Amino acid sequence: MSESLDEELREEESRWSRVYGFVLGFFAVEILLLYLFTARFS
Amino acid sequence: MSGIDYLVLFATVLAIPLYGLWRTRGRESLGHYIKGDRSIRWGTIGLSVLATQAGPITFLSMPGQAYESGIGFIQNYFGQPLALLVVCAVFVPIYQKLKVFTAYQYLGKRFDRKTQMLGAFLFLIQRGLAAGITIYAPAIILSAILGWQLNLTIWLAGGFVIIYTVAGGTTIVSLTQRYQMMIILAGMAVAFGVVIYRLSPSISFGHALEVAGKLDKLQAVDFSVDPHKRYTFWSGAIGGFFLALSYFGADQSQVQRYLAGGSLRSSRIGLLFNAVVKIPMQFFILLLGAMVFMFYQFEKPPLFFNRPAYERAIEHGAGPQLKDLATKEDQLFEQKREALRAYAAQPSPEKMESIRQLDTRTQALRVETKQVLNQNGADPRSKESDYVFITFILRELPRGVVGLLVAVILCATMSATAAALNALGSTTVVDLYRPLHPSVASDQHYVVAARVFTAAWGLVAIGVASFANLVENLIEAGNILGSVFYGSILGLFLVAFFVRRVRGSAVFFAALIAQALVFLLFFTTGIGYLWYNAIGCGAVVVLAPVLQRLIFRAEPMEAA
Repeated sequence: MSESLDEELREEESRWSRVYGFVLGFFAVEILLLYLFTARFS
Repeated sequence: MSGIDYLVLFATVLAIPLYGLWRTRGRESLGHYIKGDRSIRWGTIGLSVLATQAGPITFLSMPGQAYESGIGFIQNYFGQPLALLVVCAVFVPIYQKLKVFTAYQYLGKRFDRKTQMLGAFLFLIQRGLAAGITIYAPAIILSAILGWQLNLTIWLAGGFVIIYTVAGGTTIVSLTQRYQMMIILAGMAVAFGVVIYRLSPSISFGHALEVAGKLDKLQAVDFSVDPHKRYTFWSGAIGGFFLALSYFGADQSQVQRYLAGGSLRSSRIGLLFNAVVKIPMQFFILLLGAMVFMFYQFEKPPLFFNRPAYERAIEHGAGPQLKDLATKEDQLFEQKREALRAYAAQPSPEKMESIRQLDTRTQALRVETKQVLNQNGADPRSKESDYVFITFILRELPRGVVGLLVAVILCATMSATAAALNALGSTTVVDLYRPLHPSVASDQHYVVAARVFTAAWGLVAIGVASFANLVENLIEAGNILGSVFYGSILGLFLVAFFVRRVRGSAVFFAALIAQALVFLLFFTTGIGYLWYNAIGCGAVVVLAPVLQRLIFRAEPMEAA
C-alpha cells in the first residue's frame, strides 16, 4: 500500500518536473526575444 | 476630471469590495479567515499573486521610468521565473504538507519558537513600513495632480481597505484582487491602444520603435558586467533571483495568497502562471512608457511634469527664469518634431544623429529647470518621472477612460494594501499572539484577534503614509526596503530546508548577525540594493553551521 503511494507521488512529481521544464523553456524564449528586440531596436 | 470620470472611478473602486463583502458574509473559523475556502482556485491565486506584487507603483511610476531611462528595468524581473520554480518545487509542498497558516510557523516546527518569532518580527517591520509606502506613493501623486487633500486621499484609500480586509479575511482579499487585476490589465491595455492610436498620424508604430530605440529607450537586455550599472542581465538574474525567492518563499503577504484554498495543485499552477506572464506584462508596461515618450516628441509636453512644484517656483519668483527656459524648450521641440517628421518620411543616419543631438539638448534643459526649482525653494520632492504617466492620462485620454485609469491606480493600491494587512494581521496572531496566549482555546477568539490586529496594522500603515517624508524614488523604495530585510529571512528558510544538522539557536544568532551586517553595509556603502538579498541570505547560510559546530554543539532538537 505504502509502496504504491510512494510510486504515485513519484509519478506526480515527475509530471510536475515536465511542467517546470516547459516553464523554464518559455523563460528562455522570453529572454531570447528580448535580446533580439534589443538587437533590432538599439 | 469630468463627472463621468468620477462616476467610472467610484463605481469601479467601490463595486468590487462591496461584491466581495456580499460573497464572503458569515462567521468563520481561524483557518477559513487566514487560508480562505476551497472555492479559491488557481486562476484566482495567479491573479492575486500578480496583484499583490504589482501595486500602484508599477502602474504609476514604471511607464515614467521607461519615459526617462528606457525599458532596462525589465531585467530586475529576470530572476523571478527561476525563483518561482524553486518555490513551487521546494517551499509549497512543505507548507501544504504541514498545513501551516504562515511561513514562519514552519520555522517554529523546524527550529524553535524564538526563530519563528524572529522571522515573523523581521517580516512585520518590513511589511508594515512597505504597506505605508504602498498607500503613500499614489496618494502624494494623485493629490498633487488632482488637487485632492493628501491626508484625505490616504485615509480614503487606506480606510476602505481596512474595512473590507478586516471583514472578509483571505477570501475577500483573493476575490477582490482577481477583479481588481482584471480592471488593471484592461485599463493598461486601453492606455496602450490610445497612445499608439494618437501617435499614428505622425509616425507608424514600427518607426516609433525604431526612433525610440535610437534614443536609448529600448535596451531591454544589457550583458555588461560593470557593477556601477544599475540594471543589467546579471544583477537582475542573480540579485533578482534572491529577491524573488525571499519574496515568494518567505514573505507572508505572498505565501498567504498561494496557500489560499489549501490545494497543492492550485498553489503551483497559480505561481507558474506568474512565472510565465510577469516578464511580458512588465515589458508592455515599460513599452507603454517608451511610447508615451514618443508621443511627447510630437505633442508638446509640459516643461516640468510635476506641475505643483513648477507653480510653487513661479510663486517664489522664478517666473522669468522659467519663462526663458520654456521659450528655449519650445524652439527645441519644434526643431526636433520637424527632424522626426523628416526622418519618418525618409530615414537616414544623419537625420537620426541630428535628432539625438536635439534630444540631448532637451534633456539638459530639463535638468536646468529642476535646478531652478530647487534654487527657488520648490523642491520637487519626488521624482519627475512619477508624474509623467498620470499627466498623460489626464491630458490625453478621452473622458471616462481617465476615470478608468485613475481607478486602475486605486485598485492596485487597494489590492496590494489588502494583501499586506491580511498577512500582517495573520502573522501577528499566529506567530506572536497565539504562542504567547496558549491557554485561550476558542477559535473564535483568535478570529477576533486577527481582525483587531489587521485593523491595527491598517492604522500603522496609514500613520506611516501620513508622516513619511517623500521618498526620492517611489518605484524602488519598496524593493530597497525588502532587500534590506529579505536576505536574513530567506537564509532562515534555506537553512531549514537544506542544512539538517543546524538547530534553533545557531540559525537564530546567525540571522541576527546577518541582519546587522546588512544594516552596516546599507548605511556605509553604496552597493546595488539587490545584492543585499544575496549577502544577508549567504551570511545566514554560512554562519549558522559554523555557530552550530563551534558554540551550540550540545543543543537538542526542539519544536515549538
